[in-house]
Formats: sequence, C-alpha cells, structure tokens
Amino acid sequence: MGGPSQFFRKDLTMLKYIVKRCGQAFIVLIGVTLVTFLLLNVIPGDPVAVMLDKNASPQAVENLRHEWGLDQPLPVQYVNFVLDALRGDLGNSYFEKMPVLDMLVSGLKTTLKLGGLAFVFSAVAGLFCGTIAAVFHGKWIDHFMMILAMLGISLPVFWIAIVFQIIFGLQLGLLPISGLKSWTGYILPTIALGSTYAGSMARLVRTNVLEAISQDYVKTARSKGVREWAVILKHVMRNAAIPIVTLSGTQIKSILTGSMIIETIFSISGIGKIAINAIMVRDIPVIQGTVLYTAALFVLINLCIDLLYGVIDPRVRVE
Amino acid sequence: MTEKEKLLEVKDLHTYLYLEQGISKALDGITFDIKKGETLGVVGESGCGKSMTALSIMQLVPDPPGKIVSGEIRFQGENLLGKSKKEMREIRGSRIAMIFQEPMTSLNPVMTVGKQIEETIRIHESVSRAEAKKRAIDMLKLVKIPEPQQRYHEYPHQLSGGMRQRVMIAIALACHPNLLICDEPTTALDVTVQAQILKLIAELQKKTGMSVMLITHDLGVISQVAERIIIMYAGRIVEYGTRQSIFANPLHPYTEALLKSVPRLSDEEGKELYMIKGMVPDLTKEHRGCLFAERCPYTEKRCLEEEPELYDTGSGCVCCHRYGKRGNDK
Repeated sequence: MGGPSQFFRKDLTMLKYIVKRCGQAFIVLIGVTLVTFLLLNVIPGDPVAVMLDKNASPQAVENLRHEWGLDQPLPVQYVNFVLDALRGDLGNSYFEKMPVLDMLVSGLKTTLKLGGLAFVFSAVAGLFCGTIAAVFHGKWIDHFMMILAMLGISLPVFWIAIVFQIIFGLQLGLLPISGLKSWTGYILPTIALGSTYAGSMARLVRTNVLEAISQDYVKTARSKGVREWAVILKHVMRNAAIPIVTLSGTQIKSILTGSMIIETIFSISGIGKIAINAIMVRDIPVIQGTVLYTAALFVLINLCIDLLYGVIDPRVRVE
Repeated sequence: MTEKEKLLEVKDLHTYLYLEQGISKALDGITFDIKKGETLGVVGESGCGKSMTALSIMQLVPDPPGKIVSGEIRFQGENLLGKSKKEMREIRGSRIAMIFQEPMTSLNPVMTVGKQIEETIRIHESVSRAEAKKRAIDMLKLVKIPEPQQRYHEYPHQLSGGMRQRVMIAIALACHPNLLICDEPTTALDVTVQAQILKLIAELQKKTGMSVMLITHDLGVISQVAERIIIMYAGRIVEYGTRQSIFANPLHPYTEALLKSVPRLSDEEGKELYMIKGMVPDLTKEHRGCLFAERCPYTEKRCLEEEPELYDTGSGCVCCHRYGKRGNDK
C-alpha cells in the first residue's frame, strides 16, 4: 500500500497474470478445435451427401470434395484450418456461400443482446427475490419466493418457452412469439431463457444473505447504529456477493448454451440457431467457427470472473 | 449513593426466548445499576444470560426468537425500552457502544478498518469525509496501533487478533460513548495480548470518564479491573457486591464454587481442579425452589421448595436462603 512505485508493481503483477491466462486460453482453444474437428470426422453424416443428389455422379462428388478441401489428409485439413483462423479467416459456409466470420458477427450481435438481457433479468430477479426471502426469513413471502424459484429451476427452458408462446402469444395475443422485429419480441425469450438462472440465483442469494446476516460483523454494524437497509446493502450484500459472482460466471455460460434452444423456438437468427442449422447439414466451417467463438467467449468470461473476485474480496487479490 | 451518579439502571428485566422447545427465560428479572465512570463486572458460566443482558441494553436481542418481555432500562434518566427504533439507533454507537468476543469475525472482511471506524463517526455526527478520516486515524493512534496512516487502508485479514480488537475498541470509542459494553473482549486472545487490551480499556476509561460493563467468565480478568461485580446464574443475579467483598468473602454457594474452581499457582502438584457438579438447568422447564439447588453442596429441603429472594448483606446482595434465615427465621 502507499507509494506510486508500489502501485505500479501491483499493476505489473496483474498484467503478468492476464498474459499468463491468455497463454493458457490459446492452449484451450487449440484443444477445443482439435476435438471438434475429430468428432466431425468420426460421427456419421457427410456435407457432400447433403449438398448433392443421391444419384450424383462420382465425378461431381469428387469435384465438390476437392473444392471444399475434404480430399486432403485429415492432419493437413486441420493445420490449414488453424493457420487460416490465425489470420482471421474462418472460411466460407458450404451452404450459405458467405464468410463464416460475417455470419458469426451478425449472429453474435443478436445472441449477445438476448443473452445479456436474459442475464440481467435473472440477476436482478434473483438478487431481489433472494434478498427479500432472506430478510423475511421464515415468513410467507420467503416461502412464496422459494416456490417461485423452485419452479424456475425445475421447469425446462423449452417447456416454459412453449407455454409462454401459447398463453401470451396465442391466447392473450399480447406479445409476438417469433422474431425480434420490435422490443416486445425480446420479452418472452428473455424471461424463458433467464428463468432457470433467476431461480438458482434467488436460492443462492438467499442462502448467502442468510449466512452473512448471522455473522458477527453484522452485529457489529448494528451496534454502531447503522440503518437496517445500510446493514443489508453495505455489510451483508458485499460479503454475500462472492459466491454470487461465481454462479454468475457459470450462468452466463449456461445462458449462452440455452440460447441455442430459445433461438430455435422463437426463430431468432442468433449464433445458437446458426450452430444448430450448421450441425444439421454438416456445414463444417460454420460448426468450427461457432465452437471456436463459444470457447473463446467462455475463456474470456472465466478470466473476467477471476479478476472480479479480486475487486470484491480483498483476501483473494492476485499476489 | 444518590440517583445522579447512576448512568444505567436495569430494573426487573425479563428477556425470553421463544423457542420450539418452549419459552426459555434467558433473563428472569434482573436488577442492577452502573455508576458514572465505574467498571462493573458481570460473571457467570456460558448460557447464564451475560450476553443477553448486554444485547437487551442495546436492544439487539435477535428477534425471533428473543423478546424483552418486561422491565425497565433507564439510561441517563431515559427509559430505553420506550424508544423508537430510530432513537435507539442514534444511541447505539454514540452513547452506548459495544465490543464483542471475536475480533476475528467482528470486523467486516471486505471493508478497510479505516472505513469501518469512519462509518460510526459519519452516522452519528455530521462531519466531512476528510474530517472523518482524520478522526479515524486519530482513533487508531489512540488505541496504540502503530503506523495508523498505513493501517487505515488495510483490511481486517491483514491484522492480528489483538490489533483487530484494538480496531473494535477504536470503532466503539469513536463517538465518545458514556457506556462501553465489553462482551468477553479478551476471551479469544492469548494472555499477554489480553493484559494489553484490558490495560488499554482501563486507560481509555480514565481518559474519557466513561463507564464500562465488562462481561466475562474469567474471574482473573474481573479481579484486575472491576469495582463492583455481578454474579449471574441461569438468567438471574445470584450475588452482587464490591470486588473486595466478592473475592474475600463470597456468600452465594455458586460464587464460592466459581472461586474454588480457579486454578492457583500455590496449589500442590497433581491436585485435581475443583469442578461444580451437574449442569446448568434447562431454562425452558418450570422450576420450583432455588435454580442452583441441584448443584449446591448446602441444599436443604427449603431450597427445593421455596424460591430465595435477594437479601441485603450490607456490601451487596445475595440470593440464597442461608442468609435469609438469619434475618427472618421462621
């Protein structure tokens, strides 16, 4: 603590840590792409067979295989993919006839918007319900919140999505059930996607707030004459936040995975839908691209979460 | 003793815990007072109601399950039990402050110690941020923490147990309270640090003229600092008197037994330590007679049937039939 030189040194250790984590991330990405590549070549299904008619001539098949580079030995195919990817070129989609990168960027925008909204929804709803339940521990409102949370966790995402579509879209006619033409289109997919995490968040928040509330330092705060809401916000919540941040990390990742289902149900052209379509038709460059993007995003989220710990909890600051 | 000298008066205080097993009479009619500038020691074994007394005065009894059922707590002439939540909050931390047993867990781990001292000051007094910071550093100096400027920015985990308890004292004294309640302030510390902390509290008491209520189960600690002593047993006060009278001439069989169970250096080698037989009674059950009767070496028939009253002994009071008999023998 103290002088500027020491502060600089602290910044430097932080930088070193980030560089080290990026190095590890590179290895992870190589591993992920390699496994995907191997799996794509092991599982049955052939993009050429999807593209061409069953009765296509062997010559036509051969031409197409050559055009897509599938006639080369597997190690060469993989090395080519990696080298191109390093240059920022993820190849062209077999079927969409456009660069995979462009597809990813446009899909990413939609997915991040939807995922972000779902995350904010689940975090806000979870924090609010969990804190209220803990503060009114044992009262009816606590039981009500926990039943709600239990429903959120137990009901599958696709079921909630379909029921929402039927009730709010078809029967009440209040909200659109597909596409994202206006802001109202976001409401149903956001809630459907976020409900599971709102539920688990609420339960975790409740547990942690209850634990923090019974700590000695809360007694100290009260004995100092701190207002009850300030006790909760300043003393309880910041201590309860540590495990909540951990859950947030896994939640963001689960939301991104869950968006594949939600995007398909609500016909939203996000990255999830692109990935599902690509898998159906064995569009190898697109599959590789989406996997690479997802892996990179996960690595980035993990790094952010780890850095965030240090901000919240002075005891785990990077040494 | 005139009324004016009394800072705190507790009269017939009942605090009950409403538990699933039944109602536990954690405090069953206790009466005592604390005079200005004095140190009152409160002694008893675990679960006898020492901490409950402190929490009742602060009105921080956890509810549920606890509730102050009846009685009166007069502080500087005002009845605290008639105060609103807001009024109580203004008293806590400014006029009555409290320090706790566990310095390891009593400080918020994610706030710097400086900020935690500052918080008290800023709640009770309208001072600027810079002024509050200056005063927080002064408080760290006052409790003899070396390098207060640096320590201000440190977190509790960077300090030792003794240091943390000093910080707790700094927080408690930041707004110059009239009464400092110390709930086992040295129990979690090792003996040398214990002595330092007690010395510090005594010094600060001299400096500020505040009263101290020192709760402990350690008779050694009490014998060093308390002027008057209350002995509690099962939610009641069984004896109170001056330090001299309690240590030189304990009246209640429980006090006697407590003093006997303190190990002494003069004891011969291999001597077994005295132990009070039996257990503290279950306070959720109805009792007849004296609560200590089952464990008392002097129990008579009367002790099992009649509840003893507090008898004046001249230098204090004692709650035992043995002393009542002398005055009003039936």
